[in-house]
Amino acid sequence: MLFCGAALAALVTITALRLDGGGAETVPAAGPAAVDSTVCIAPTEYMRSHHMKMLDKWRDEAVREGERTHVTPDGRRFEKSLKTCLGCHSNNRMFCYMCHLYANVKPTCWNCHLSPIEIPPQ
Amino acid sequence: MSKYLPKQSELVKEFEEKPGVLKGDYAKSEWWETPLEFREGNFCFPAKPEVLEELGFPNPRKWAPTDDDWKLPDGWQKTVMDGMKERLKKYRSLKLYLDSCMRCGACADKCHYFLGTGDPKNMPVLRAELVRSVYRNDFPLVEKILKGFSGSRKLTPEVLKEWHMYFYQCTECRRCSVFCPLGIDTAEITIMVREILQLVGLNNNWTLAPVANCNRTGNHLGIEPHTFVQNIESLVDDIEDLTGVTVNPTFNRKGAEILFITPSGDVFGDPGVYTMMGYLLLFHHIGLDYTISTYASEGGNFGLFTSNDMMKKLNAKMYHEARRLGVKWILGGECGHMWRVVHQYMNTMNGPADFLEEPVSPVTGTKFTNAKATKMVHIAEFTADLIHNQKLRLDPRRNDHLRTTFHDSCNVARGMGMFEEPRYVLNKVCNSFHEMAENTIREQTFCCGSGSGINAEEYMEMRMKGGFPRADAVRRVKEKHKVDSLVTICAIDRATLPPLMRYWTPGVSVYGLHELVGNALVMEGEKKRTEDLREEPMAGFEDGDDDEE
Amino acid sequence: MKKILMPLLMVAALALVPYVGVEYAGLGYLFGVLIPYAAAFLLVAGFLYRMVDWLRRPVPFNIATTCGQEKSLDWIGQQKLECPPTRRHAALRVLSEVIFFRSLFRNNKAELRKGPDLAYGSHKWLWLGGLVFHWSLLVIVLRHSRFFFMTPGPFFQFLEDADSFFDVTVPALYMTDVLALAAVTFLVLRRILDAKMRVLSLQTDYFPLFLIAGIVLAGIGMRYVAKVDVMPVKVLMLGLMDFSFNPPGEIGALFYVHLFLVCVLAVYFPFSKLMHMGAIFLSPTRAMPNNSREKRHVNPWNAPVRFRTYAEYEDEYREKMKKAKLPVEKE
Repeated sequence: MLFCGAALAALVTITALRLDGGGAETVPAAGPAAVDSTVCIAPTEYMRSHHMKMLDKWRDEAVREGERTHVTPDGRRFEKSLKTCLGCHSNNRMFCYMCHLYANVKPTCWNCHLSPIEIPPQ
Repeated sequence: MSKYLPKQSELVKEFEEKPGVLKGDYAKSEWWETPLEFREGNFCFPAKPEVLEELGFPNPRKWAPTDDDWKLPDGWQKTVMDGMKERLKKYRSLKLYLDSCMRCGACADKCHYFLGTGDPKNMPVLRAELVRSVYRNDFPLVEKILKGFSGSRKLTPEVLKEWHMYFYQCTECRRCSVFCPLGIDTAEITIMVREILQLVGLNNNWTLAPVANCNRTGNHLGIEPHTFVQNIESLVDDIEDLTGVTVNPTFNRKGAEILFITPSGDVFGDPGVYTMMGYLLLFHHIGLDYTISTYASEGGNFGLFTSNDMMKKLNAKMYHEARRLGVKWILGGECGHMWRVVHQYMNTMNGPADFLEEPVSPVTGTKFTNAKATKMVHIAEFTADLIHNQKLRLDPRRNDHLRTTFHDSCNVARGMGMFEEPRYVLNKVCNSFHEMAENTIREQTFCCGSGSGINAEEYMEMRMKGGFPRADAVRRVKEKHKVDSLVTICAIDRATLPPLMRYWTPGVSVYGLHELVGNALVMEGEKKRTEDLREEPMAGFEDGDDDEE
Repeated sequence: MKKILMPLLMVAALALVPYVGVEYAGLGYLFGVLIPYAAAFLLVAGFLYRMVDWLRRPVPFNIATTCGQEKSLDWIGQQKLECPPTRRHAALRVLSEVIFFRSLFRNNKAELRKGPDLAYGSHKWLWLGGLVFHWSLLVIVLRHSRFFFMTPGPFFQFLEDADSFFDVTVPALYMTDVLALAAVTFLVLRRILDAKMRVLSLQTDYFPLFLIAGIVLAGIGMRYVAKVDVMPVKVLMLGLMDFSFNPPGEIGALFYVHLFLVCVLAVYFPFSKLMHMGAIFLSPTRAMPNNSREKRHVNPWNAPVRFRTYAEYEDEYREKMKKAKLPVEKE
């Protein structure tokens, strides 16, 4: 009984928090960040090994907390969005695919988002 | 009580108060740092020089394990190491079992000697480590580079003494092998180490004297042919007194259909003789054409506890005699280690037995296809088949004065797989049968504590310790079901369980399965039965009670 | 306790070797190419040598350990797995050991109580811990095939998907990582805490456990914490699979720690108790059918032994035998 009660309470809390996060989404962010297409948001080395962590963090912060602006250590501002990445990296529509295929990694991004290789070349 | 045996209360005190790893107390030192002590009661007397001379075994001398100097022969280290090398070459089992143990500890509390003594070196894994530590030191393995790392040590006189102590505290019962994920068989290691110990004259008189006797006279007790016959004839007289029926065993008779071989303990020892009377009644009842040999008059084979060559030498008599007498096949009596030898070694060592025929029961026509190569049938199989085909007239009420339980003998259980046959027979000849606890029967059965040739009087303290798990299980079934009779199909059990029961579980007597068969058999032309084969009154059959047949 | 600390220190030292070697001495080629080749060679050659070495030793006797009812009279039910009547059943028996750890499932624990009285309780923790440990390691090894093959087959894909089924954390948490770590912790703790295990364990028992724990920790670290770029890792691994001697690219030092500990394990394997992996298939008590009375087992070196014949026996006892009216061969 006690266990069931605790589980129920936990469930309610989680749901409430999620709703709360959902509400935050409606609050407009501080405007779209400027896109600097010459330099990535972090050093290439770091991005190669940590991009999934970065994207995961962005997703949580943007969607759940409504915190949509990423500020780099050197003060540049970016919108926390896959669009920011693809703004540069979509010039090669195989950009994500190649490495993921090679390393046999199946990211969950494309479960919701449209993958660049799904967009027909113009 | 024997001077080699402390009072029961003293041993109970030791069990309860002495700290040990079995009770969860951490050992104070590493096992290889623990000294060992030989004292009266914890060693078997070494073989007498004349016994060794008769067998042609090395290093005959007078010595005792309590001596500082064991008078080892010159170059004994080389003899031991060469002996080990030779056996590693000849036996995959030895090499594999020395190489591949993970020391997972599953076997640790499965050994009756560990449970009874609490001595860590009686955990099967450490018993084998006694040898492995030397093996790793002297045989080509990379581990030897890192000696402290691999736990290896030199072969010193102390190590040899340790082997002598602990490989005679293993009864080759193979219970550990049931629980081992790799099936590592400590009995296999014990057999090899005992062989090696023989090479430098470390041995035990209780094993080697019977071996010498058996070689010379055909049986362990050294009974010469005429005495052997006399003894069985006196049993025939007892049967006549009890039942009014005259049974007619024959000896060394050519042309008999079946040669019957049983341990000589059944011919000479109490309570084995009552089992022998059961056999004689059974064979008479079905009119079996059989003979008993005075030359191959021993079913048991203490060679198994000495060396494989000796086992072969003693066992060879069975086929040799069967061929000479021109019998069709061999019937074997109740025995444990005898059946390990017959079932797993005999045909390989002394076969093929192409001069014999595939065994067929002359009474039921049943073919014993499971014995078609070795051509030797176990009496429990034979009798179970007779009962199943309703060829016996049995009155199980004649055993109503007994409340029984059944002790699976190690070798028949784990070296043969015989569980149901004796239980079937037992249930048909008596009305009160209760199993002991699950963890103590069938493939998990506990040894009597004195198997493998350590049934010596001077070893009584160790035997009572090693037999404790078995006695404890009997005590429980006795408390629960008022059991008073422990039935076995092993001659060593019949010799060793009575003192064990007297010590730990007074009030329980030991019986052979075919003694109960003999009690229950309704013989043609018998007189009114009032007593069982032990001349004890049978319940409900007392004199003057006329409502029974 | 020396016998626990020594192997722990050894593994720690071994883990430091590639870290220092790569980070400060630039020995990426040694640790990334040369040592892995040498280790793989020693593993394969050593394993084969040990197996052949066992196999060429004869099995003189059929010493099957029977744990169930043998083949007997027709109407008596057999336990064919516990007491295999044929080679096929014996093979199934061995497989049941390999796959399900059947004998460990039997395990029980004996306790000496006041009385004295022995009590036995079911004790399947070792079975569970061992099973989880071995199966997790197997899945982990198979999962690594994504580094060794350009496109691993659907089975490996399935393993990967199943293992990361819960899809928590990024990258997705593998269940086997957690299970292997939990199992190895259990296996170490039982050796330390159980009085029997403590006295029977040797340094060689702790060493492989610590080594495997080290490998797993380094792997987990690379995946979830101090992340390593997998692209050059895969290039290196595919290269090794092709027997190429190209130098590795820029890879974090943690990867070299992981790889070097794996190499140590590979080299250690054939010369240690880890060979139980091969031995379990050969153990005569389990791999032989219990049919020794039905079919003659042949001992290749069946040594001739002289025994006392009936004739010799009769010669000694003839007069006594005649007196006892026993038939004799010679008068």
